[in-house]
Amino acid sequence: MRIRITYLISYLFCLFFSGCNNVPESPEMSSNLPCIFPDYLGVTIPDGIAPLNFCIDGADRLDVIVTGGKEGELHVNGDYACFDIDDWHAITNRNRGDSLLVTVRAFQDKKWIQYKPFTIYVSEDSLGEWGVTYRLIPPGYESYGLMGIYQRDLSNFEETPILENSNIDGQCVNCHTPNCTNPEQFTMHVRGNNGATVVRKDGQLEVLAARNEELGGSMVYPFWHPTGKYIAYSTNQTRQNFHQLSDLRVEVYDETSDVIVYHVESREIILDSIVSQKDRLENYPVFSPDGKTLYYCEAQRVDSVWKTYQQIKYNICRIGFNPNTGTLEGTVDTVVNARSMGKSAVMPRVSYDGRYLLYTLCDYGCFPIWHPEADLWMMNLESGESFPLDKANSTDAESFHNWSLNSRWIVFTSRRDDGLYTHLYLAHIREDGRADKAFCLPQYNPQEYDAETIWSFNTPDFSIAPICLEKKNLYNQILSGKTAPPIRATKHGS
Amino acid sequence: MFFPFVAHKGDKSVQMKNIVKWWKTIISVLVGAVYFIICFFPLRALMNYHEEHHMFRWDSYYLKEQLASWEGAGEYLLSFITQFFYIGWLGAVIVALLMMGMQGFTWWLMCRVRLSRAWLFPLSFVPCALLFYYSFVPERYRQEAEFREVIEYDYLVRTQQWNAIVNKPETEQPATELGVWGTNFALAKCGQLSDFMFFFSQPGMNGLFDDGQQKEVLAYYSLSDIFLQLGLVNNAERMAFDAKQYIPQNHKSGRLYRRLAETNLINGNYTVSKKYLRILKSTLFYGQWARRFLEHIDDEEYISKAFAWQRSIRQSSGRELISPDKGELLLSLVRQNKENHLAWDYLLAYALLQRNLDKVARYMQMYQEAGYERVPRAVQECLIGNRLLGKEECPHIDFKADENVEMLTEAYFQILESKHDINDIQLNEPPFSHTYWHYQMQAIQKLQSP
Repeated sequence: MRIRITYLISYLFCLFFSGCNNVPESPEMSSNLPCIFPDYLGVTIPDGIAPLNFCIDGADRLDVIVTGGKEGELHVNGDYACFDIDDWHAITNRNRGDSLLVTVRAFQDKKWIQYKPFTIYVSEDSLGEWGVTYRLIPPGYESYGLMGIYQRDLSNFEETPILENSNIDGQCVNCHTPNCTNPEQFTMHVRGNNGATVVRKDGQLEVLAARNEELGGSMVYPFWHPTGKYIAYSTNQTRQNFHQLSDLRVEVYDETSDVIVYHVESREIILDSIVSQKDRLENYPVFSPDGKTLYYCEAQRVDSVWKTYQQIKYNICRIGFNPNTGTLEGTVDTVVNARSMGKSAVMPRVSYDGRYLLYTLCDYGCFPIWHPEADLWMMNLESGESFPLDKANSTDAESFHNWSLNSRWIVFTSRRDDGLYTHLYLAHIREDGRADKAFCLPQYNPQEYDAETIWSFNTPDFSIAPICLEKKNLYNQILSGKTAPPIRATKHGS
Repeated sequence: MFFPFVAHKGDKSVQMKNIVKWWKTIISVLVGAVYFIICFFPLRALMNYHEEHHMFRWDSYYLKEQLASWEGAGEYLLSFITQFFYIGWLGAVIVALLMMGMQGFTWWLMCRVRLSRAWLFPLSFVPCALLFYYSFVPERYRQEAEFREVIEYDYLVRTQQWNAIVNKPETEQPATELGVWGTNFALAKCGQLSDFMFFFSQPGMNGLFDDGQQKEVLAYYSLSDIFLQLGLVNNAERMAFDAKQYIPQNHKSGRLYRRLAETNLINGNYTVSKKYLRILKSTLFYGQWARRFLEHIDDEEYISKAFAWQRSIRQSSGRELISPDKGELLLSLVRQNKENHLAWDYLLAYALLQRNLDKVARYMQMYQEAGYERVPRAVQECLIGNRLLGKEECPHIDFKADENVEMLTEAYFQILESKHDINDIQLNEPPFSHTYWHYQMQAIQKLQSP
């Protein structure tokens, strides 16, 4: 009797689920590619990346088969395509340098549709990084509420906080920057009542006063010297204004800005008039990988910026840097003359192999994140040729980019998904400096990610290992307001 | 028996017995009724305040998110209750039932520990009364009259009770910025701003709105309403977005999400709007609206029709960053759509608040050129007074003044000339205290005082 009941239950179970059409039977064939979210059609990924789970808006169920160009096959069936992490790693590893063919069947409008298969390319180039760090913040205007700096393991979906502002009286945290993706050395900035510049070197934390009278501002947009001896910052009087009548939202601009170099050990700021001219705006300093050159952006300063902000256009310049003395040497060389194109070039980043310069090109100003026309551009530093990264760019803003240590991958933010919330994208850079199609940072549940994410990702960078911090100690140091003694400043130049 | 104390007609002793038997229930119900009345009348605005700082969603994601922690579970329950405050009477009924339930439970507990004597019965009301007072009525609300006013005006603006605002007695004139903005907006909605604005205390050039950082989070809510109806969609969105960040404990607000969905629909940002609509669709009181627009999100014609007015008065002029001057901003609105009555009223009122005769005359001329014949009362006072002072307005406005306004303005200047004192009691009492010239003279005095 008991066996009969078990059979009956099993029969009803099967009947129930077959009624739900879980398994596609004779699907309608479509010549179209599936409209999946995130858009992973034709992207290039590194092996070992977290599974590219995806969904289709309006589909009740998906049945997905992934076939390796060399070997292997995955089959998933569910509300959205959700791959097992180990299986995904195995198939990407076995098909390195080849591709995966993805066949999607979707139950939509009460019928199964089989779409034209699409390809995901698995690059020969490995990522060589543990994960990424980024800030999560609501893309607000004057208020920001909760925000924090987070790290994410790129081989899976694990996200952990590095610093959340709920632990430091809701102050703004930003500009988290490691040295060459090494989390043992990083700097970041805290804005607010107990504002501070945090520097971590060799596991030691130092909390510096955020503002310095001699600078007239705080130290932002940092970049480490590869030796870890120096950090280049800019010190800016940043303002923002709001577009009341146009289709744009926010305009961020600097009334003044200078570039400074900070000597970590002596806590000395090295000022040089050549990168802190009164009539010019110098910004976004970065060192070359050999540490002998300082790149930065510069523009002519204007009065009444809110009236003339569209006239501010930045070029990318460089000048020699002596790592022994921490001083600038030689003459200023304009590397990207964006002004001659009627454009503005900002946020330079030299690849760690020294071959390419990645930057953002926009119509004007230094804060392209609110400019839909902002695109990533690449300059070949040997030939001087500049070109847009067409396959990585979109019709919306791309910015805040960084290189992986092996110079084969970049991470950047893009507003392409909805025009407001920035999301992280990664793109493979080929030998010739051109980008393959970028892919969105993989998400465990793309449906939830699409519907529920009301945060913007910004200032991302790669990290070769997770950051382990004594958070309580850091929170206490910030909250106590006890910052390191004033920093001495040494002036050079006229 | 459903009504246990109702006996047969004439059987008074049975009726009495039943009443005695059920007196505790009767008292509980009466106290419940008191809670209902308190919530529905004096604390109606406070209920609105609670509702707009919570958003309960009937979906698994929200459940999962909230039940991840004990605090979240508490919030889940709280948000579940506060969602019903959207409808005033329903919220008041729920609060009354909750209080009655809690009191009944307290009495049951007292009986369990043998504290069931009749004279101890009133004690069973104490815990829920304390809970009501300390959890439902925020500390600021109990202590600060200004906070109470802000909550009141926010509620009145949200529910568009313009007459209730305008008809407030003189003793209840607004003391907060939001109160003044709400009053001026209510006047404009009644088409009377540049007529009767000086019947109310006017603080100066910020009396219409201020789009900077606000002292009170609720000011963002109401300003968002004001900006949207004026046609300043970007500002409406900015206010809603900033308010969203200021809500404590990362709570969400159905009112703000709806506003963000609206502004993005008006501006054609459908993908962003979809995000908010999807979140709203599983709420009880915003869900229907959200589902309607989600269904038609790809139907440009439907959305254009639904927001035809907002789109017609919305200003979109390319890339330039507009001057921070409010007059310029309002001017661009009336240029965009001459039928934007609110913007016209605000433009004239702003010139009056600036005490700038040239602008009053210039804007009035534009107003007439746009086809409006009427000269608002306060504008008349301004123009007549200037003529009496021998100052010809530039440009010259042809109009037939109302007899009363002319007489009142002339009387004002006669008294001023005879007394030589703008602080004269007569000039500071109605009807003279309700005139443009009273505002003008007081403002000058303020400027001259050390």
